[in-house]
Amino acid sequence: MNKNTRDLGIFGEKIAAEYLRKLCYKVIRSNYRCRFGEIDLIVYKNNTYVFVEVKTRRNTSFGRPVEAINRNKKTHLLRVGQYYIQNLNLKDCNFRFDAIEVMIDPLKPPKVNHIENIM
Amino acid sequence: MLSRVYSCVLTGLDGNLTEVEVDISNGLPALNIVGLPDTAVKESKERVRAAIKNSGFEFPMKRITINLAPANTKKEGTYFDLPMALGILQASKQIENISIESFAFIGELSLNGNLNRVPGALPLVIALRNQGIKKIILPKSNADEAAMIEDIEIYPFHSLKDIIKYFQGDCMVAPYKTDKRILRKGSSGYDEDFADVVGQEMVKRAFQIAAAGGHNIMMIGPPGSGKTMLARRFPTILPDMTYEERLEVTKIYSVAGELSDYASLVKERPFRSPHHTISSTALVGGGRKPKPGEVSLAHFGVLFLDELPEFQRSVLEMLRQPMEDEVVTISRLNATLTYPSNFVLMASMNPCPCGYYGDLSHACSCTPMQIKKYLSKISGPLLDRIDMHIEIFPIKYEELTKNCTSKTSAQMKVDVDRARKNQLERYKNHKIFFNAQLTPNLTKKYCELGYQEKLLMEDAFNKLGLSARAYNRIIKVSRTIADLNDCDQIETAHIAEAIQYRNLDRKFWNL
Repeated sequence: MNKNTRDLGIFGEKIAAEYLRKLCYKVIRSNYRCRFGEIDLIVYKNNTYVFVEVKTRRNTSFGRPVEAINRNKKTHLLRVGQYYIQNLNLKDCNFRFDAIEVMIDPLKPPKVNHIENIM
Repeated sequence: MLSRVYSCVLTGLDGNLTEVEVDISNGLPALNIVGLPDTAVKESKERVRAAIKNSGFEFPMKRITINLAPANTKKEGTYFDLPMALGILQASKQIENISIESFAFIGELSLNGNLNRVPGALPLVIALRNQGIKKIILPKSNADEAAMIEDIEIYPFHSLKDIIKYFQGDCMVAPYKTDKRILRKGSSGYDEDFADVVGQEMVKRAFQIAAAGGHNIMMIGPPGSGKTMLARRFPTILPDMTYEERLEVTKIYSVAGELSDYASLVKERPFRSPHHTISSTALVGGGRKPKPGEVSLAHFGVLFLDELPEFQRSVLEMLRQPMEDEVVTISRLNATLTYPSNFVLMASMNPCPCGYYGDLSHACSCTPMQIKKYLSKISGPLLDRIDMHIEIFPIKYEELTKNCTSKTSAQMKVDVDRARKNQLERYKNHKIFFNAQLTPNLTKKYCELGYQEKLLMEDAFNKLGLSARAYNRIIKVSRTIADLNDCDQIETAHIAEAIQYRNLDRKFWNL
């Protein structure tokens, strides 16, 4: 992967984590990896675990960031999430999958758009 | 974030009011259509997306759900594009403070936001009017066809942008009206004329009877005797269609998608002459979602089958039920639909494979077996349903070169029109237009025979071995002949003429 793209992704994830912290979410893991894939952020609030996919873009010439989340990506997210839940044997709590799109413009502060419950 | 737009769904020749509900909520960008849409309806999301973008609006990057209510009937066709687009624009608050509830919308969108013509606009408009909708917005190219209907306001538009402008009050549009006189005006004229055909006066007389009363007719004759030439000129003497007839025929053509910008109304009686390779589905109608076939497209007109024995036998037998019932019901997995099929069957054929059996100037080279085999392709039941059989003889040299002018189509049509007027007047309290439609009950009422006439019929029935159906049909034909002669009562001469049109089946089929 291009180093630039990777850096952009890490930067976007940082911004997303910051944004979620402000909303009183507790960030439990970032870049959780297992053999099924990766989840960018796992956060927790009000007895709900939220699995977050962060998408970052510099411009929208290839469409909005969230448009890149298709059915395939969703299935991957779901599998990793299920694996995580089973691995930690989490019980009696709710789960949710969110997407956060971060749009970065060098001249302006980054724009964050949080979409709850994408499944 | 919810909006509702009225539209209509078409099943066969009937339409049903449909609500297009659009809900926009937060979520990953998606457009889901529910309510049993078929492929064409599902595809409309791509057209709607492009049309909204290219009309200067923004396609919302949200989770859009569209419901087509009632959700339990199958929807097909492309006319939901426009209501969907307007619903999305309203639900996303891009057009506000306007009321579109009193309107119904029909239209297909092209990618640049223009409205394309849709098939079946006329039945849709009729259905919407019957369900209490007062105003309809549809593509401009469907305007003429839709404006046939009274007590409903038609607003045709060219593009999605224009519709929004209209609702925002940026432009005024008056309801579309066509000149009703054009609708009621007669046909525009034909290139062919019966004056082109020399002689054959007896055939022309038979044609007049068939045209006046809507009777089925068959011509038998050797090659080159002018069967096809005569048949081609048959439409020129058919009586003009009444407004009700035009409406019904246009409805069928609208559903079949056979109307165009140039011919948005069917003004002339249809004359359908399918080739003899036609399949049974094409003839009676069919398909996954049944479409009208040739018998329905020939409704209130003529179905001309040239070279009748060349048609597949199974195809010909299909004609029996539609000819008798005047409707055809097509059942398929997805739908069972009934289309009207009230047509005049006109058939032409040679008497044998070589064509010259019974001809005076040529020797026939066929064996009796060959002739029998050839003629047996036409089954008895089908033959029984044809009221008039006429033999056509080749024209003689003296007649061909003689410089006499025969009657023109216009002159012949005068008689036909008069006879048809008599019938319309007589049957104005019944739901029929001409003699061939008479039910047994009405036959009794309107075709009463005197003593002499009854004797003649009895004689003919016994001697010619007529069927009950043939008996009824002869009486109907004699009713038409009486109408042509302006007689209220059927006379012996009329019956005698009608009977002689029934004698050919015995000449050829009882070898």
